[in-house]
Amino acid sequence: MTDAASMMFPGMMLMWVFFIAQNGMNDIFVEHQTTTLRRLYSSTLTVNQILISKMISCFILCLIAEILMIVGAWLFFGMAWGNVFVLLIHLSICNIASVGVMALVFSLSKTIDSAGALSAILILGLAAIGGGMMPYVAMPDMMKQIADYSLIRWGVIGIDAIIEGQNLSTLIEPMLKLLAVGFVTLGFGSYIFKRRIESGEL
Amino acid sequence: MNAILHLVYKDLVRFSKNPVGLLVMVSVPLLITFLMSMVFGGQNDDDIQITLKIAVLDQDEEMIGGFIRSMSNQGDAANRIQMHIVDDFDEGVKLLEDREASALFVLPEHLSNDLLSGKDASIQFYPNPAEVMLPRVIEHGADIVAIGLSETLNLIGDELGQIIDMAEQDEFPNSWAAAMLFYSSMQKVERIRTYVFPPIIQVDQINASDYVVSASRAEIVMEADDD
Repeated sequence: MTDAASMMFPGMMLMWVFFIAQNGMNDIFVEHQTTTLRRLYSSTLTVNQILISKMISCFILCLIAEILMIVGAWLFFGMAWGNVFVLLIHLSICNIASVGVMALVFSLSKTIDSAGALSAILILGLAAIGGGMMPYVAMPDMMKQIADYSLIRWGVIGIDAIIEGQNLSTLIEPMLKLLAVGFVTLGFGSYIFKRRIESGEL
Repeated sequence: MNAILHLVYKDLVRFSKNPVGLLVMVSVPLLITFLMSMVFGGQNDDDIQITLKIAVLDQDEEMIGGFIRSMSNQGDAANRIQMHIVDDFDEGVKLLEDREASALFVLPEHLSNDLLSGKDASIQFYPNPAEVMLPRVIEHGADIVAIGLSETLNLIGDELGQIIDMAEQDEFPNSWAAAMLFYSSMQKVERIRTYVFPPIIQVDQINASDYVVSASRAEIVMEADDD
């Protein structure tokens, strides 16, 4: 049980963290529909403050979910997670990437429905090619080559390295990739969201 | 900054008032992983027990056939080999079709007589086309048994033939002749014993859990299976 779980669970966990980030970003549209967002904007708060708070709360939710999942996997599957401190740092970086990607997808979507559909397709695609649905080792070679471009795969590489107690230098590449994607998408997502809120579209 | 922290705090408080959604999101991957673990193995490497199901049609019904048939009851093989003795070829093929057997062996008539008289003989092997790995494992195992049996017969085939002849006679065998045959066989075995026992190379198995965890381990296991 432990072996099979340790192969599958990290990818599965990261896939569902993307869905949690999706829920967090969904909140912006919900607050737009309930006019909460407009009321916040008309107060002394700036758009940047509103967006940053949304992203931080989304990030914290993802982290809470990951901690619960890690404890759950430890309790139910007896999974050993290696250095928990390093693991939390790595997962935090994964969260930056997941929140960033979801922020970009939602900022580009006109409606809450299209945002939900687009983000679900993206998450499932990333998970399918990145080891979130089936273990990377069970994939054919061509899929493995595609998997190298999946955020979920980068996250899983890091988690596997921590679980296996590999040298921390092996974590640098996936972490840098995730950070790069995270900051770029967060930047673009925030910029587009800000323009849409300021223009009254949201 | 205080404003941001205040907004974050309010968001988190709002989420904490309705944690069901988050708990469901957390429990789903655990549940899916549990189910998939049950499907794809669901146990540690050490616990994996593969049983080779083999159908055997014994048309020989003499010493060699009896020896092959008795293999599934001896030592470790008793736990790993499940042998179905079939009465005819069609019954064996039916077992293959029903995936009740991974391979069918047909031991031809006069197999024992042919081998003991020094003639070449062949055993027919029918792998189950619906399976990939297990028929190959059985084929390799059968090759090893065939080599062992051939070498044994090369070494003490004459003595075995004489013992069988002696047993088939109506009268009780001469004790002295039986003892000499046994002694002669043991002498031959003794001559090669120092070359065969104990083997100077041993294969020590190291469990995957002792050297790697998770994905890379599975890759090694799968590569080993492919080999």
